[in-house]
Amino acid sequence: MSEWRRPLEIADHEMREFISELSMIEREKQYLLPSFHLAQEIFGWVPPVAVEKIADFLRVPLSEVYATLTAYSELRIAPDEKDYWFICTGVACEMKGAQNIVQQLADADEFKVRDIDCQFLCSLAPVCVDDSGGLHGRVEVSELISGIRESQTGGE
Amino acid sequence: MSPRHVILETLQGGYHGGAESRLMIHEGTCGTATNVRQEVERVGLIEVCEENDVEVVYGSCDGNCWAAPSATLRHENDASEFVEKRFSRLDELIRVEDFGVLLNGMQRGQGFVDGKSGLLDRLGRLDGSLEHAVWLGAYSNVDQILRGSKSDALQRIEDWKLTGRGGAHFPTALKWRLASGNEGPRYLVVNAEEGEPGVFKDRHLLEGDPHRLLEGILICCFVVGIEKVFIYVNGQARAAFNSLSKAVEQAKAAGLLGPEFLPNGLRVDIELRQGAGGYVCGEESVILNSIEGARPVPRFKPPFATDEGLWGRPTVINNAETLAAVTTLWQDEPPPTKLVSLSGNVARPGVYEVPADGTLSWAGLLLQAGGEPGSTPAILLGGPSGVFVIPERYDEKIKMSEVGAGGLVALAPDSSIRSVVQALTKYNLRESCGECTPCREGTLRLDALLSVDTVDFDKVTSLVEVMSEASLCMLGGMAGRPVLSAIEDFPTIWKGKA
Repeated sequence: MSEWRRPLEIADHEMREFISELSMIEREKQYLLPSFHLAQEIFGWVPPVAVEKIADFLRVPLSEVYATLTAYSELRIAPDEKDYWFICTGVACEMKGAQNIVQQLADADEFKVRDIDCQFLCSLAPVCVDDSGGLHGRVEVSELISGIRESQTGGE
Repeated sequence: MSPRHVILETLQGGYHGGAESRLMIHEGTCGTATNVRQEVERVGLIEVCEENDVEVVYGSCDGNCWAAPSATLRHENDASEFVEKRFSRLDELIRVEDFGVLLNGMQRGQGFVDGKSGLLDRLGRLDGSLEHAVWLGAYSNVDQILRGSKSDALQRIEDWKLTGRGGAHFPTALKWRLASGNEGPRYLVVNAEEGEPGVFKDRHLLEGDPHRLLEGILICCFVVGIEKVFIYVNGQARAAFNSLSKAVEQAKAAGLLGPEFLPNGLRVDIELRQGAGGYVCGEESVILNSIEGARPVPRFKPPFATDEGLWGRPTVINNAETLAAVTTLWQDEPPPTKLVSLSGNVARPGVYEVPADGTLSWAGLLLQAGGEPGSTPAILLGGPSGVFVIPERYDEKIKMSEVGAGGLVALAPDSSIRSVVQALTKYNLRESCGECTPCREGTLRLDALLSVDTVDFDKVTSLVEVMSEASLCMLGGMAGRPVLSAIEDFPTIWKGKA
């Protein structure tokens, strides 16, 4: 909750883009989910200011908009913590040692790594999702370490 | 000649079969995740293709996910005869000299044949253009159907006993008949949410052969009399969504969705909707709420969707694979098949087509995928709402009613069945939408009951009974299935340290 209340800067140009794209959507309640997707695509999450705009524009009560927004696990009501890599822990990945990979990386302490539910790439287990959402199949710990190290320290 | 034939002939005529020899690089989700673009460069395939006049095209995964990164060399003649050779797991450098020998060998008809049929026919063979899809048979069945009557089409579907491929196995013809008996306007909702862990066959179908789904949609719209279609695609399946969007645009531009192609002034409008997570979103009434802009929670049934679905109108809700399967029923010997996603302890995990008539055994499927029945302690069917198949049953034939949505995971000798079941229970707990108490509280308590050292079977069984009887939808209704199945088949693993 604290994160949610944190004041966050929204870039003007993103807001302008959002409003102009939103105005192309039909003003009907059925476009609530497409509007959330639009906001998340532009801002990377669905900020309160966008939620208010959506409620106004689609003429849906704010409370109902929030009730719907928060029911979807893939919609983010707070900006993502950046640079995280995810290790899939679906059944097939688990069998190929996903938990072990998570543990080894967590032990190294320098990486931002978390586990994540099935990514539907079970044939290529174990699977990881990189910090920009890209999927990688048949990952090995050594490869992962160099990949993550490169992406998490490369930019600095 | 009817305008419909003009459309199809124009489409076909616009395609000249491409180059005689083509290298199809299987990109798609599987290829991207294995860096296929870099790999084909690295092993020298692009270079040898250029030197041998082989056209290079990019397509989708062909269902042989295990082979990724992979590419298929296909040599075709005017009579549409072809030979193929797949380069699996591009881990060896490919030399120009060898390639030449290979091409010559193929021309003598010694190609690689993988025995694909039916639903997967065009998967991984299309270059993404509508013309190529039509060239390889897309829309030819709907063309044939439109020449006949609606009742003939329904009869055919009934005769071949096509049932819903989403897991519930409701007879498709009956569903269509129920909806068409109600006054319009009617809707069609295509369930391509596929959010069950371990299932990835719909994604492959939509990524690789989206026109097959569109053809199935047109057949349904014609038979039931529907003008508005929503395709609800899993939010994470970006590649499938993009491929489908492109296909819808292509079909629109070619006039396939309009009255020139469809009889009686029928015009089909297809709208794509992207889901946003939640296993429960695969439940049909949840999809209806989601499309309407309401909270994604299940509805009470009855009324059933065929009576009161989207905005209270009669609605057919079909799984994407069901509609795709409809298109296979008009072949001479239609093989109604079910797609399964097989992963885990097999050498060749991927998408497999299993005959619906029960002619393949569990052991047969395992062997086909390079698994060893002798060292597979169980097959998990249907993920978080599934059951286990134990070795004693491997010789039994696979029944459609058992495979659910089609997610199969072969377990390894060192797999802990108890941890698998606990992980699935925790998954159901996380994914419960909280709308009804039996599921919201039940999944929580089930997890707690399984977390103690020695599990109390009686308590588990009575809790599962309440959940399956009283939950609003199948998430809660079936959350206890893997637990009961594991208790029955592996009674000894529940005593001692959790």
